[in-house]
Amino acid sequence: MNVNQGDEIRLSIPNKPEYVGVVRLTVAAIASRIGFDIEKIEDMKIAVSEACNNAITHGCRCCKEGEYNINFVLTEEKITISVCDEGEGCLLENIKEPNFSKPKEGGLGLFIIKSLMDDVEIKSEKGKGMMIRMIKYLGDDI
Amino acid sequence: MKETTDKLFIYNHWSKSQKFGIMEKRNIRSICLIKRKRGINTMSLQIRKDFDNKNNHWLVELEGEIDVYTAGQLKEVFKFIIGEKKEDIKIDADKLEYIDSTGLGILIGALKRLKQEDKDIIISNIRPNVGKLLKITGLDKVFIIEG
Repeated sequence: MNVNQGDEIRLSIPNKPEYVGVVRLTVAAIASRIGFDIEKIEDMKIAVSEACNNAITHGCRCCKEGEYNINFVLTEEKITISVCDEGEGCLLENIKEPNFSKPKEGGLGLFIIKSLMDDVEIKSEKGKGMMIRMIKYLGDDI
Repeated sequence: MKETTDKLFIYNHWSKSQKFGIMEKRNIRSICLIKRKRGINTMSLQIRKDFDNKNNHWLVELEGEIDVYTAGQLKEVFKFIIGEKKEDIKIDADKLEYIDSTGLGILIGALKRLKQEDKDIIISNIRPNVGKLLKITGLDKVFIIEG
């Protein structure tokens, strides 16, 4: 399959919890299509779900019936997944590392994304939404 | 999505728990509160729970996925069982296909309440993807992992 130009798939999805499972199935289908192994696919499902959870909980400031966008860019060597919402955003300095000796009930999402994906970029400004861009390399498997 | 009405029922039944080593027949009176939302089944969660009188702990069997949509169900079940009896909770995760931070948060919350009575959460038969997540979050040292 010739993907070196960078095929792009775009998904615009209502920010309701019931659709996060749909996103996971989409991620798995795309990743499987370009040849990722099962462990990397499972990693991506969790990372993208965490990004979606973030978009849903902090994502829509204006109304409850909002949506967020997910972009997949596929090349021969990697997949780049971007999850963007137009919510309240946050100050990036405020994102704290979790304290493992005293686990809390929230706050693990971004840490999990950074642990499971090869490269992560987070862009946000207060009042201007958030973008989480994640990259996974295909690696030696192909 | 359609929401079915809450079902509350009390039943007597023979134990289905042969795999837990309970071979004798016994009457179990269980109160189950089930709330099911109709949707695509691959993304749902089923929870079975039972109190093991012989070993004095809860047995919880998870099937399906725990994410932002289904985590509330798990929270309700834990709230109910911890309210009933604060004993160890043994979770069989053999059929648990997916969990993320929303589910982990619920487990941590439940463990905090159990720790007040020096009780634990024991998770067994974990699948590789779930195991990996527990390891990277350090929660494999917080919960007791078996099998």
